[in-house]
Amino acid sequence: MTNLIDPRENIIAERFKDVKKIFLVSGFKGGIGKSLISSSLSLAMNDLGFKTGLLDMDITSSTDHIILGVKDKFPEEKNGILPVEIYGIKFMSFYFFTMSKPFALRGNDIKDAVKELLCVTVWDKLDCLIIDMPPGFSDAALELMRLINNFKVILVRTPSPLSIDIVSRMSGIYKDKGFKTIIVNNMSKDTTMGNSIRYDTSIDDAIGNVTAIKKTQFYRDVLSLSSDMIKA
Amino acid sequence: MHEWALAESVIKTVETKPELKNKKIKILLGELQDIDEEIFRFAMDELLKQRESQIKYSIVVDEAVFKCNECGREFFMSEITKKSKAQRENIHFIPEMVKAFVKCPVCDSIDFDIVKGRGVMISYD
Ligand SMILES: Nc1ncnc2c1ncn2[C@@H]1O[C@H](COP(=O)(O)OP(=O)(O)OP(=O)(O)O)[C@@H](O)[C@H]1O
Ligand SMILES: [Mg+2]
Ligand SMILES: [Zn+2]
Repeated sequence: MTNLIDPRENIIAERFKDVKKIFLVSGFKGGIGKSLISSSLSLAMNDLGFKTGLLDMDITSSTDHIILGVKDKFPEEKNGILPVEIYGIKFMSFYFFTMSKPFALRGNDIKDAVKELLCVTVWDKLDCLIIDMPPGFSDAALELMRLINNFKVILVRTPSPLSIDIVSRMSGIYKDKGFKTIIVNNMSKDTTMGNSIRYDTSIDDAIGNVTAIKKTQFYRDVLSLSSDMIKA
Repeated sequence: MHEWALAESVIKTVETKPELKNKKIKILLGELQDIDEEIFRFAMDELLKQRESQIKYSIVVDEAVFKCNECGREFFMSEITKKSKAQRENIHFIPEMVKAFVKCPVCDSIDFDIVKGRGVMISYD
């Protein structure tokens, strides 16, 4: 009988061996600010002096490159694929390979694409890596949980009762497996609550322009969260 | 070269899987990913030398087969219209990107499966 083994899985741990901290940014629900927070958090960590990476795990609907205004850059090939350097951050996204074409993937494709990117991306040394997750809890999340096991989960929620309910229901998946979870209250009206990011009407106008992002209240709120987060 | 990363994953697998110890392995290179066999072989041999490893391997190109989820037709690389260099390169990095550049040759659907011949696999008896 012929047996088949997928070799990619066995190198992934090695790819992350010099990455000190990994934060998965989730929240299960769509449109709650995961990508804005992931991108801003990477900028903030870098501002605080930590060597930071950002990985956009949303394969079909990646957006971090839009938020950071990444243009005319492509990962370099060197014993693997090197993330693009932008504003001091090492950035990797499926966006680089899709050439802005629309496409659809089924579950097995998502698993394979995630595995492939984790296998060939060479992060080298990082103090922290932020992983921006797609909405829901599906193939990409399960695959990441299987392949890397030393991350903390940032659970983004909004004041919406729908978002609060989903986070409290779904966070058990991570907690039961022993992952540390940190709740971040986005679009918050109550600033006395810990880990809050206020609703900021200026944030959409700043998208694509990092200098403008850094001038927003949104960014200042993220910056003040990030120093606690890196200690967590 | 990104072939190095894939060769590294093969060697790491052979080193860590007891069932592969002292086996002659066959490395399947998926036709879809279009790995440069010469670079891959060079990477394998260099990495094996560095690690003073005695692994014996052969390389076989695995024909890519796709199956449309709408009309059910199986199709092959030869039926796919020629892709630009950039498109081929992106498929080379992430084979699933074929979904962004290719449609079923019969019904034009974007919903098809990669049945085989996707990327790098290790085969052994
Ligand atoms: N604190 C905030 N203040 C004002 N608007 C916000 C805030 N956070 C998020 N938004 C709004 O929500 C939109 C969506 O944000 P974002 O794309 O980051 O969400 P997401 O959770 O990543 O979405 P998806 O689930 O589709 O990936 C932003 O363009 C912005 O308009
Ligand atoms: Mg998002
Ligand atoms: Zn078809």
